[in-house]
Amino acid sequence: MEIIFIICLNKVTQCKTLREEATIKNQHNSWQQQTETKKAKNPSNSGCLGMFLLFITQVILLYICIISGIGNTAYESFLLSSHLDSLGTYLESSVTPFQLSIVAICILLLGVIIFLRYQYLLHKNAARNAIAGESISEYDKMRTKMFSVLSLIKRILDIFILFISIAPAYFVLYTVVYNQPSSKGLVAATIISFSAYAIFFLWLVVRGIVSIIEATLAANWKKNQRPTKEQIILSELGKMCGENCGYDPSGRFSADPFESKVIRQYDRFISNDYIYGSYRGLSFEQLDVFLQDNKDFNPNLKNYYTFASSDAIKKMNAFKGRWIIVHQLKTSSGRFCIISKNASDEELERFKIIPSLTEVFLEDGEFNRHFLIYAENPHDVFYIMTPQLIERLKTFSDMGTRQKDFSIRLGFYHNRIHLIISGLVDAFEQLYGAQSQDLSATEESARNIVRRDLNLITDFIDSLFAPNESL
Amino acid sequence: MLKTIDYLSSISGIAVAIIVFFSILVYFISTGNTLARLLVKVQEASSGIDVALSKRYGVLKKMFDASKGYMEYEKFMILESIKLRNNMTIVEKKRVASEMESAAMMINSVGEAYPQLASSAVFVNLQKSIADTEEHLQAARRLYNSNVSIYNQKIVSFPTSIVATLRGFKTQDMFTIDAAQRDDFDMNF
Repeated sequence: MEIIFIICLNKVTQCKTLREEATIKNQHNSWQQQTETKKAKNPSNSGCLGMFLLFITQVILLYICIISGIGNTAYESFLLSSHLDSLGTYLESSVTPFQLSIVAICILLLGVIIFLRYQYLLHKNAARNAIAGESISEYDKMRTKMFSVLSLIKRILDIFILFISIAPAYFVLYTVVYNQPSSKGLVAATIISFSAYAIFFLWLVVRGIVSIIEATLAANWKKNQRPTKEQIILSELGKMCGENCGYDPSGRFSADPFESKVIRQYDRFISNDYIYGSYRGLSFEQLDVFLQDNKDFNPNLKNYYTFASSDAIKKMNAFKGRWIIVHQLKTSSGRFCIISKNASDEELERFKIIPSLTEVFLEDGEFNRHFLIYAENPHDVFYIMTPQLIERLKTFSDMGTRQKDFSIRLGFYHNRIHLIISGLVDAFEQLYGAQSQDLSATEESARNIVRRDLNLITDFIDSLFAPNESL
Repeated sequence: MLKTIDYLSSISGIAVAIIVFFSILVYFISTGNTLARLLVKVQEASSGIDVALSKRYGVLKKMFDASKGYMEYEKFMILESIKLRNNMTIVEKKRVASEMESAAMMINSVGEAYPQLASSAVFVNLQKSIADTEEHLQAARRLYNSNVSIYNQKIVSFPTSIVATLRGFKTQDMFTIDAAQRDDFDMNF
């Protein structure tokens, strides 16, 4: 009973260690690839399941030995206790040792398969990260090597224990099939039985020491590891907004954004990288969106976020861009939409057929050459669109002069300003492309990318605060 | 045969003359209508300025009432001297806007002199309102100027200028506030 308890305890520790190990390896994976790693099957689950099945197998095999009387007094002397009598009697009456041993062997094999799969998944993740140009420092490399050595020691110990588990199983099968005990098996089982307690104890101690070393290394490593994408975004967002902010890779806008009519409603709305916060007292939200109609949907092209080329988006008849919503201080009941003239003809024509909207011209001739403005009340356009905001939109427009699919839309509805920029690289997307051997440089460059992407929002909000007077 | 040719040529000459005449007539009417529409837009924008001015005047009056106990009688009467009426010309609107601007600046200076007034919630809210009415006035001014600019460009460009002259369309004044005029009011206070 004590041994079973020790096995239980050790297996729990082992599972925990495996999970930690997998988590550490996941964290060790480049944060640039974190989203993809999330999508991959988590190897730690396979590892834990595999070890749990091995543990179950060991327990069942020990019971088979007990109820079959194999190993004679050796097992019974230290395994059989009053608590097991009732279960032993039940198993003896309902299940034959042969059936039980077959079940045990199946579970054992399943455990081995899942365990091997765990190893394979870890290897596969490592290979993918290597292909993706994972950048790790010398410090990280050294730690990785140490983890590998410790993992190897643990694997050897586990295989040893596995052998101990299989040996009685072989003996049980031999005895049941040939109806006579194997002399070699009997000898092996007896030796294992006599030395089992010592072996398990030794295994427990060594495994424990290895786990402690590993945990210490992991703790130290955690202090020096690079922050994740989420951590960097939240940190930079926090500097910008204080505490009132957040990042949710799979979040959505708090209200239906299509009410603004600044862009037509597509059948499919796919989004990621949702951020929200408050800057200078104005709350804002931002999403990277991918819009497409069902008739144009191609199920074979599922990875929407990898399209760097505007041609690919055009072929898919889709819209891809950054959508920012700022809750304005200025209040007005009207609605207006501004769209750059290089948007698709379909989009430009759409506003003409909305009866409540009429075309408006601002006092800036250059702006009128690049943008179309439709409003329910022209006064609202001049009230919201301060000269500074007009200049800001012109600056945004200059950003994408080389981009074929670049367009800007700005809408005002229900005291919210919608800014949609298509053709730009998605927010924080360039984090995936950073490659550097130096840890600090990589983190700093990542922070710069995040800051630059957040600056688009802050610049836009700053221009909303400008007074309504000519420049 | 020759008679027939002469007849046909004279008919075609008359037809061409009729077509040209109707074309000119259509152009004259359509251009006149376009200019009339633009003028209506200018007038609408001008009435937008009236609305913004009266809104601003209302808020200023509330501010003066709130700070009645903190200012001298002469200063208090400044607002009473601002006369808002219907059908003001652009020049008059400019003058009224400048007077209101100066009155707003004066009331703010009173607020700065009396911290207990400046810290009262009513005064703070009225200050925000006055800033908002200023935004609306600026928006109305810009809308008016934009419409006037489009209208003026149309009537001075050839051949629209001919139609404009014949129909009696005249260029409209822009709504601009002179910094010098504003400074004059500052000096008076």
